[in-house]
Amino acid sequence: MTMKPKELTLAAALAVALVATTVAVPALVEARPAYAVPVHEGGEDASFASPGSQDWDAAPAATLHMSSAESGLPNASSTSVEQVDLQAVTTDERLYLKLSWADATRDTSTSDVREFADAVAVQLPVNESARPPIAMGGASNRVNVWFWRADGTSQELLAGGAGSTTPLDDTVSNASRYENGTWEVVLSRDLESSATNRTAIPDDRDLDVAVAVWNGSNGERSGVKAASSWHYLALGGGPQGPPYELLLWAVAGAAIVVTTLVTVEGVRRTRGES
Amino acid sequence: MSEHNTHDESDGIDAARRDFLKGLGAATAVGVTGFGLGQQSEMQSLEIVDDPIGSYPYRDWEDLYREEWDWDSKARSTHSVNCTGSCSWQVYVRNGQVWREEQAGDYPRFDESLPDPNPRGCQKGACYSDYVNADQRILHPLKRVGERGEGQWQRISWDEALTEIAEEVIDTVRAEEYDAISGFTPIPAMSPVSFASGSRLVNLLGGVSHSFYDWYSDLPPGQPITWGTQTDNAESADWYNSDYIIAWGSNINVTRIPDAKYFLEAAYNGTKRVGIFTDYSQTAIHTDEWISPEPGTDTALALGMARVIVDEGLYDEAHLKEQTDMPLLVREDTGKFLRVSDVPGLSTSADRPDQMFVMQDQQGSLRVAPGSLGERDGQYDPSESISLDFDPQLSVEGTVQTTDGSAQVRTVWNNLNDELANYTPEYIYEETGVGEQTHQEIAREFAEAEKAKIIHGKGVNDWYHNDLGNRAIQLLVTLTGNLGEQGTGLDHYVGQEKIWTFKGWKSLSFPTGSVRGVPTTLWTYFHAGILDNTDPDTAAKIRESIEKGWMPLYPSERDDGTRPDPSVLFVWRGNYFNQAKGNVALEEELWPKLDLVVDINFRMDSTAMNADIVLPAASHYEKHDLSMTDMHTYVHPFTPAVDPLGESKTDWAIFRELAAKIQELATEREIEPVPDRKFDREIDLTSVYDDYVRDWQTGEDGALAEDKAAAEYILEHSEESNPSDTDEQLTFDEIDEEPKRLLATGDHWTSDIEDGEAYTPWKRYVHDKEPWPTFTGRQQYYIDHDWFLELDEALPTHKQAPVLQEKSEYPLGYNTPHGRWSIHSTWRDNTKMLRLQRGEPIVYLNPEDAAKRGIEDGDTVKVYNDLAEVEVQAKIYPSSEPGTVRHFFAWERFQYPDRQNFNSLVPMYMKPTQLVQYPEDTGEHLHFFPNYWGPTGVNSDVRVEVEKVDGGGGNQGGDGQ
Amino acid sequence: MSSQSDGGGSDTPEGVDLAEGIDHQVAMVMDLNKCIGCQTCTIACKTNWTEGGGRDYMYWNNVETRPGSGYPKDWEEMGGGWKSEEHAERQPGQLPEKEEYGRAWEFNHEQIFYEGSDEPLRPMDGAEWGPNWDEDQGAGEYPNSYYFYLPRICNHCTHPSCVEACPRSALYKREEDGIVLVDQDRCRGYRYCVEGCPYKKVYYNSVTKNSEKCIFCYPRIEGEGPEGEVRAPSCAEDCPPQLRLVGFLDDEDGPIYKLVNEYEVAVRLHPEYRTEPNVYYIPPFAPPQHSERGESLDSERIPRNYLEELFGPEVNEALNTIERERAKVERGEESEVMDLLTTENPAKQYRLEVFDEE
Repeated sequence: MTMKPKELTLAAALAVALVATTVAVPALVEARPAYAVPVHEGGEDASFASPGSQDWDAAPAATLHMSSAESGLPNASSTSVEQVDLQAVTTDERLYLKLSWADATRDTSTSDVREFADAVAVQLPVNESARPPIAMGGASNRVNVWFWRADGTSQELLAGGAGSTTPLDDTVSNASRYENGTWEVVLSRDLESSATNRTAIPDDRDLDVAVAVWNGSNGERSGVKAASSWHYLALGGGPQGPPYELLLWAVAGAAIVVTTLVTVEGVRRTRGES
Repeated sequence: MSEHNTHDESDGIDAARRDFLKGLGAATAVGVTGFGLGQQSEMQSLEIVDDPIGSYPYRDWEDLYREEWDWDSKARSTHSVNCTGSCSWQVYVRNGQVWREEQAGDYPRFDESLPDPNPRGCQKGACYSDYVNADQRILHPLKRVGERGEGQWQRISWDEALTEIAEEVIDTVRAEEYDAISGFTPIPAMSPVSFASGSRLVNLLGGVSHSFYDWYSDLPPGQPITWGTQTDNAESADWYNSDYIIAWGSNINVTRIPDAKYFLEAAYNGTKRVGIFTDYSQTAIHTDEWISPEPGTDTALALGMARVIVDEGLYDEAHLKEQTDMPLLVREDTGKFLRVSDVPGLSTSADRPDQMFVMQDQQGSLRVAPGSLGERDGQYDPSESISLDFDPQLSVEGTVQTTDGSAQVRTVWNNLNDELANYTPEYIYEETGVGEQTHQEIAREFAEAEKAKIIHGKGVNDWYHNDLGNRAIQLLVTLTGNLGEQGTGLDHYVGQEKIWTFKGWKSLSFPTGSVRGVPTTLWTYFHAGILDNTDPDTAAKIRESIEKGWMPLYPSERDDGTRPDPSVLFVWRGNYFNQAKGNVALEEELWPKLDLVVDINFRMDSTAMNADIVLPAASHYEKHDLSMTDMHTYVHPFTPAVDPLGESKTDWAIFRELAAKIQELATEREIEPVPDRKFDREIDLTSVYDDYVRDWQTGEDGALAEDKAAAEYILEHSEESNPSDTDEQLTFDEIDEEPKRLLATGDHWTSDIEDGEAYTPWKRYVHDKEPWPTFTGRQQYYIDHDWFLELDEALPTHKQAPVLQEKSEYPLGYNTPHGRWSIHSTWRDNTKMLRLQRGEPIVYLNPEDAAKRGIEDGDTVKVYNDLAEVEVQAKIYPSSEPGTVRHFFAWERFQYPDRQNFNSLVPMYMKPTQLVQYPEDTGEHLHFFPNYWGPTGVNSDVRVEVEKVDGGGGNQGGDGQ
Repeated sequence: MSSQSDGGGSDTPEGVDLAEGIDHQVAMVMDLNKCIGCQTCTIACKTNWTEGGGRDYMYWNNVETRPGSGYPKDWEEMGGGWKSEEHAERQPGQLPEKEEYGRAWEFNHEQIFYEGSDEPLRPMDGAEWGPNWDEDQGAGEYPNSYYFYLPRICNHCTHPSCVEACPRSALYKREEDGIVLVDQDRCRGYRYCVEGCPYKKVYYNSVTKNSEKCIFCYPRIEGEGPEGEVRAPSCAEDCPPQLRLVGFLDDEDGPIYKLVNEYEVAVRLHPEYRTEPNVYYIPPFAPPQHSERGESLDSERIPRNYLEELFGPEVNEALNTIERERAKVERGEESEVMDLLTTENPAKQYRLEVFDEE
């Protein structure tokens, strides 16, 4: 495997940035339990609406490990995305979630019968007091889903079990970019919501969150998706659960560098440059 | 009739929804509501479905499609194309625009034992609405700014357009060259008011009206030759009454879609259906037996079958004796019929014993054959009878004492037997490829069936020797007496020659009664230089025919022996330029002679593209008119569903306003009336508008200003809709309520319309014993005209096709049949239709022929001969007979890369036997009458070669890629 | 409506299998001996339902030449349906490619007519395949080639695998008439139904991002519209030779029951897909073959094994019965089958309001 200087530089920069971040925020990292997603408090002057905003650099990322959802649909076990980085930021008014994952193919079209678009969804419990079943919630324990698809579709959904997905008025904003084989999608919503069937975003308690990703060119749609297990947005403050060591993060950082390199190579091959 | 539904729209939502549907396309609405339950922002319940089979809780959305099944008004109309369908449709209007159409489906039944006549229609009619709303619709008067055919236009006002045309017309008439003004429009029956609009003006101007039925080779010359009639056919419902039907080269399932039901359902009614097609055609697939003669050998096959019927004694002797010329005596020395005037002692009180004929009775006495022209007052004389008070012998050979000595004579029957003796089973197989046993068996079955019928099509009619083919096939129904009864006859359906409401249409179209009709085949070929490109014998005969006045030609020869060129051509309701055979010569020779070509059209066809001024015509859903066909016995109207789009106007309004402009300018310029050099009338341009809108029957001024009044005029003045012997009358408003069956028949039909029965022709002759309108007063298989004798065609006989291209050089026969995707050129360019084909012109090739030339399905190929080459896509058609290129016709010139078309490969050629007058002196049996007798524009004797075009991988995409 | 549901219920005629939970089942019989490939049904359907808004490429009703690739191209090789008669496990299916349907070509009319283009009129992006590309082609060698036309709509199956394929249950079968519909609000465009239908009669709309299909013209058969008139589906009512009969499978006095169950002359297309279609076909007969000497032979033109491939072994007895009934009529005897296949009594052809009183 050979890399062009530009790509090498990029990979190196990423690695440096990761390590720098880990070093710079040891307290936070030390405080991270296994399923926690750290929530960064965004400053008044900061901007998070765009995935490219430099302000996101200040927000720590949690890496969610993805596996094929068990939907019973054809090819359900052959999903392609293995992990998603999730960053969370709150401001006085809004909750911003940034999802980043590697996907060598940028699939933005649903305009042909065989074309499916890349997509991502964030699942939150409607009632945050009890954790719903991971697969689209349950009849008595519903979930809100923030859904974004690369063909421009954005929806806010309510579900109470597989096949029950019901659209709501969309109050979620989105922005996305695709660079170097990676999707970065920001989904955000006002903290307050007067509507029923909407997750109230607490400021004093953690909030469960799960993520699903679809790789369109792999035919992924519906229940054919890579999904995380339940995590939680650490909105309650303070350390919870067993601490993790700096070393662990350094390993994770190294893994990301390798993944990035592999992805870059993957993109290169896909483009037919090799 | 435009019937408006009033429905309750209390909340206005329906109307808004429809606006939306119309504006954005119906399906977009689905998109908007696609995720639309989200609008219920306070949703309490989730959409959960347990088992969607039988129990589904969220069905409110179904209103989506219910709301698409909605309209504001509808109107009855049909399609004014050169089609025999005459199908009544309802046109649905939504938000002021035509939405779609559906067959009206309300033809009243007249015979419950026949299949329901409803619905009539086809896929083309089902999307005419596309043309109404099409982007390519002509919306404004256009003046050519580039070369003819370039598609470079300047939009001009109606006043500018009419002024320019009027000035040209005034100058032409003033120069006494009014017979250089031509009007071409085909087929009155499909829309007689539109036909009459331009014809009426051309007639008032002293101009020339063109024939069409003969020009398009739809006219079967064998019918006027043998039966003395332009053609007369059973309506298609009568097919169901047959026990045995032969579809002979008539591809019903493609060209008679609204009528095909009667043929198809006959299978379940005990009828045997035989198909005679060179390919395993779209109709052959639904027959009980298919026979596949070699192309151009139909005459031999028919005569072979006739031989079987004669040899095996399966013929109807009584019919032959009474109804045909078979017992008439023919002189062996001259080949002419023995005339009463030839025979001393045969007495007659009639004026013209030289036009009367002789039979021999069982006692051996010579008898005068009753009903010949010599004792009739003109062609049609119901006071005479052909019934016999003696029993003539069919077979006679002997000597007769004549005024000039003696002559050997034989009956026509004996001559026919001699001719038929040539068509042995071995010969039939050798010549036609049809099995020796099979053709005999079909002949026997046909003869033995109680009621047998032949449906005869263009497949036979397009050959040079079409008259011989017609006559040979006609012979089969004559020999077996299958005429004049339901379920019998020879139904020739190629184009539609005549109109039920003949007299009303005729006097509306030609109010002066002095008509310059011209055989379009001769006119076109003459002015495109045929005489320079014809073999000397044929050229001499063409000249002779013109000189003797057998066939008229305009502009007429002037006193100084010169003949001017035609100069002004109006074309409406037709696509003359595209559909002309010999079109290379037409484009190169004839077109440059024309100073002004005006095309009146709703769409840009090839004639419009090659015109100087194009006037936007109302579509078929924007006007009043009538519709009829000889495939059925109903009349029904066009009514406007919407107003004419853009600046378009009805045909009637266009010619009326042109008349007004001519009158206005002529009056300003004080143009004097011009005396007509042929008729006793003056052409007065200062009253041409007044004459146009005046009812010439009542003298009422301004009565015919509107198209609906013109339609009512036709109904009022025709025997079929206003019979002379009853108080019954069909009115326009009545037929708008529901199509009505016509009430009676005029003189141009051969049977009456009878209650409860499908129309079947020939009853006046077969049952009522009126003389057939032929020279002999009988079905006449022997023609003793000098030219027929000279060409050895006195009796039907099989001849080889003329050699137009050498087979060694051009090995493939070239055939341009009517297809299912267009009515002539209309719909050829329609997007919906093209999407169900290959989007471009194609030729059907036999797989072996293709393989030999390295051609695969989808390849671009060049089809060529000595005249031209055209580039088209090859389609492999295993059901094609080897050796034939089948190019379903009427693709527009602009659908070919080099603007040649299917007709560019067809030379000009005409058969002399179709230029005659018979008898030579009076022409009472055969004389030129537009669409009745005249040379046909045949085209099937052509040969070509096909080659793959290198690098042509089929459809490469057009402009705008 | 009656609450009776199961196929074995008291009101359901013997031998009629209705889906569980369905009161009545609409059905259609198409007589292939009357189909002339004119496509009036295709156009009638299109002008009713599939113009614009992403629907242009769809032909809910199409007519294909057989033998041939059909629409979409080679749809019979794309899977779908059920693995067994238990209807428990579905056969995997594929999504057709865009080119296998053919695109809804746009043409350069305006450039040629008004802008002086010297190009020929053509699909602007070229054309490689379309819904009727192999029209009239068929198979065999002249003079013993053969072809016939096969009109197709959604079969509104008794065991619709498209319904079962949808993870959202956005397809359903109507209780009152068994029509299978795609809920246009609920559908999320996953296209499992497109994969799952072995007849490829569900279509993806790339504008609405939903799947759509033949609706058996339910607004027409319900008597919707300004005139409140019950009409048969437009593909049937507008058919010039009137080759379709429409009614309820469980109407013992109706044409469908008689042709399907009583006389068994109407058979299903690809019964081996096991979805139990409710569109039935009168199989085609054809003129006999020719010998090398141009004689008509006593030998069938369309190979029986080809017809068996399409319609299963039942096609043989159906053809034999038709032949017997035709012979009866030829001898002057009565035949109810032949009566049903003609339009002498159109009231018998469409029986749609028979259960309205329930």
